[in-house]
Amino acid sequence: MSRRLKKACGLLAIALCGALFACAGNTEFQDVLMLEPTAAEQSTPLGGAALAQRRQDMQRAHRDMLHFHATLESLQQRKDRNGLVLFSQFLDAYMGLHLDPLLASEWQSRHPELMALDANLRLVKAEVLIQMRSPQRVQQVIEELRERYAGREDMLVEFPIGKQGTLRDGLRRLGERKWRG
Amino acid sequence: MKHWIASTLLLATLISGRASAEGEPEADAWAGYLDFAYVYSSAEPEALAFRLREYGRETHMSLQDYVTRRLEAGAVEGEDADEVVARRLAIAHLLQYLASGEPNELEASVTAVRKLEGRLGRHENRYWYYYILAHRALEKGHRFDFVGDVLSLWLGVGVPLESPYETLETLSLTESPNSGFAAALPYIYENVARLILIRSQQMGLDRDVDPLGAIVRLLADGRVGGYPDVIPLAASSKEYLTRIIERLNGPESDAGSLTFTLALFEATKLHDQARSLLASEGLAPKTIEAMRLASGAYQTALDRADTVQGECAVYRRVLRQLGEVYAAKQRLGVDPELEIPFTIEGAIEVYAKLALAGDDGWADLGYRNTGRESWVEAMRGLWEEIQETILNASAFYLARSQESPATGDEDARHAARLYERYLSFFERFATSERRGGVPDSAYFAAHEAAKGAGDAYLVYATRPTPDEIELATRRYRSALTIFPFDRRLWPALTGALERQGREPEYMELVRPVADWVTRSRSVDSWIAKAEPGAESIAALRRALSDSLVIMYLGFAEDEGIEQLEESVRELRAERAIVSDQLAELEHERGAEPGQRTGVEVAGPAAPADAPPAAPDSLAYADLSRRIQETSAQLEKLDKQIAARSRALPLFRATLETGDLGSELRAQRTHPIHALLRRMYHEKRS
Repeated sequence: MSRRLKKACGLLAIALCGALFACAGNTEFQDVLMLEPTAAEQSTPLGGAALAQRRQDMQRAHRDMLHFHATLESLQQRKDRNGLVLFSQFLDAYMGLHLDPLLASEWQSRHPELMALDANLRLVKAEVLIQMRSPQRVQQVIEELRERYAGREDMLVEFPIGKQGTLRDGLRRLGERKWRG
Repeated sequence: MKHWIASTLLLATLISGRASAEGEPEADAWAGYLDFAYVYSSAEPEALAFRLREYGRETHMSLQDYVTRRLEAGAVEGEDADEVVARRLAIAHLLQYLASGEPNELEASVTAVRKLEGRLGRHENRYWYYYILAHRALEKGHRFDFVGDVLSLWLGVGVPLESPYETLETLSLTESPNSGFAAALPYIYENVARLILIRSQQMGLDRDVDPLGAIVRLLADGRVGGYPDVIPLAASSKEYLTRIIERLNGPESDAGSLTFTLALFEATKLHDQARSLLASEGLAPKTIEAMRLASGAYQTALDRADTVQGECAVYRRVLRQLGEVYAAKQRLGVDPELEIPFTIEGAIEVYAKLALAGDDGWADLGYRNTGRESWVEAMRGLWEEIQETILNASAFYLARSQESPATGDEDARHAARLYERYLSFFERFATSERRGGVPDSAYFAAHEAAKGAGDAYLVYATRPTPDEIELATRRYRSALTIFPFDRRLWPALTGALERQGREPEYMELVRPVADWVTRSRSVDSWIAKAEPGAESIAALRRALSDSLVIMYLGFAEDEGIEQLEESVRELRAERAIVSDQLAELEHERGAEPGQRTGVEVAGPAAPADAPPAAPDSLAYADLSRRIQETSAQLEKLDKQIAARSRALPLFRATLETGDLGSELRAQRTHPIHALLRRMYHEKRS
């Protein structure tokens, strides 16, 4: 890896740390919002405006993940190794800081308004992880999906990307493809 | 960028709101201008410099003075003075750099913003920190740093502010003085878009920006242009971004590479400029320079292409430029020195890669996301550019062969070689099973190339060899086989045969072509369904079913139709005379007038006092011989009149069919191209 690339990765790492400490030491409005309990800490279902906001956040994250997947696929197809390294760093940080907290709550996997979105988001995350050649993390997503959606495997999900199918088929497909990338 | 001026009013509102909220004196208006610099920092250098001068005039203090007297002199007080001063100083130097292009200002900005490294928890600090570092990476040409900085900016500022901004928007609080940096989100989108799409290109960053394709896709997904009440659509880069994203995700991409898309887009812009100069100033030195720049930019795009999809996209556009150059040279009659580092052979190689990949391999060429249709469309598009370039280049050489006797023969043969190249390309791919990527217009182009090759030897070359004449004759026949409805080709073939003393072979050569047209199921179905041009094709098919018309097509001049019709009148007059002579002879011999078949008009009655000749006399025998001869002459005349009376209207009908060839040449999407394709493959099957 070139020096510049290492430096760029370092900058991303700084961004990660910066974002982790984002809530500290400022009084702006948006940071007050960030001091609210994170998704992971929420144990009770949201309702009203907060539920609408959560749905909006999840929908946006889903669209963003599809764009990330398209970019990752493009980098893979062109064998752009430097680009893959940089972008994978970014994706790791994005998932760690933003996506995983958004997916942490148990209740949203059971909430009738959010469960399909929640499942779709997990599936696209797994697909991105396949592209990132991270089979262990794909397996974690598969196991989590099996656990959270036990008995509901016939629900319709948007998977494979761009198509529709049952969650059961999606999980089978992920299991088969997790070693690829 | 001019439209950024439109945001002045909003800026004034924001600044006055913030100033009153913070209780700052009016004299420190620069503080407000710097705190809200994200509103206008992406303006073009001239616009930005003008704006900074205007602010200086309003505050009675230039930005440089403000930096020296207030920021560097430590005149700012308060709890977070160090942080505020560092940020404003960094912004001030950045603005001066962006307005003047002076690298020292950027270094000063970086030095100042580094002091914020311990305070990056604040989004505003983080935004300026990465924004300034990204500019420095661009200035230094450090492409990986640039990508890393922009991704960090997105992750550390864009992503965390989106949800809060939506909340503010829901509550109509985005313009509230206390809304904080979240209110800046639409500007952040805009600035990031301009940084990636415009600034990076201005600074010559032409590789390794592909991870930023993700950010461009996110920006295009309702972010840039998504807040028209904050940034009017006309002032946003939405339109530009939309065009980029269409290229990025469309068939003219390189498997989704942003680097390639920006490079090709830049080349296309330069090509458009060159085209515009060509239209206004012809092949002037300025135009030549613009063309050179454009072809250089295409070369860069080709260098950045990792997939065959990318190579195909570049060749399609650069061949168009090549074709335009040849067409202009021919039209304007000038031939300036212009090196375009692309060849038709290169394009044919790319086509071969596309075509040979077949149904199993097309996705690996870069079309996985755009689909099979885009692969087929790309092949057809590239083919059309190859054929047009070859036809334009050949036409240029043919025209030039007439201008210079010294090099005329060489130019004519060069044109012939180009036509032959197209024919071998056509033969290789149009006759194979994998001909899905061959456009319908390729068949008529093959006709044009075959006819052009024949013309090159027989019309343009001054001393064609016997082998060349033979080759030209064959090419004319091939051209006739592909497109038999070209009336001008039939006499061209007889001309070629005449040069070899082979005119008698004409019928033998063309008869199979004519017979095939009259039997063709494709032609029959086209006429029956009254498809476009069916009337003309029907007239030509009727004509080709008559040998005499075929002879007329080969040997008669178009303008000679009046003479031919006059000849029928003359024949009729001659027949009347011969008929009278015959009647007179028969009367003399003692037969009743009108007794012979074929005699239409009885001759005048023989004199009553003329004695009939004795049947066994010599005079009777001579009379019988003369009657026989005259009868034979009359019979011949009858046949000629009948044949010409039948054939001439058919021949005339062919002259009235209009020039189908010109129509097909001008319209590559003309429906008859599809008929030619069907006819060609019907014949081969």
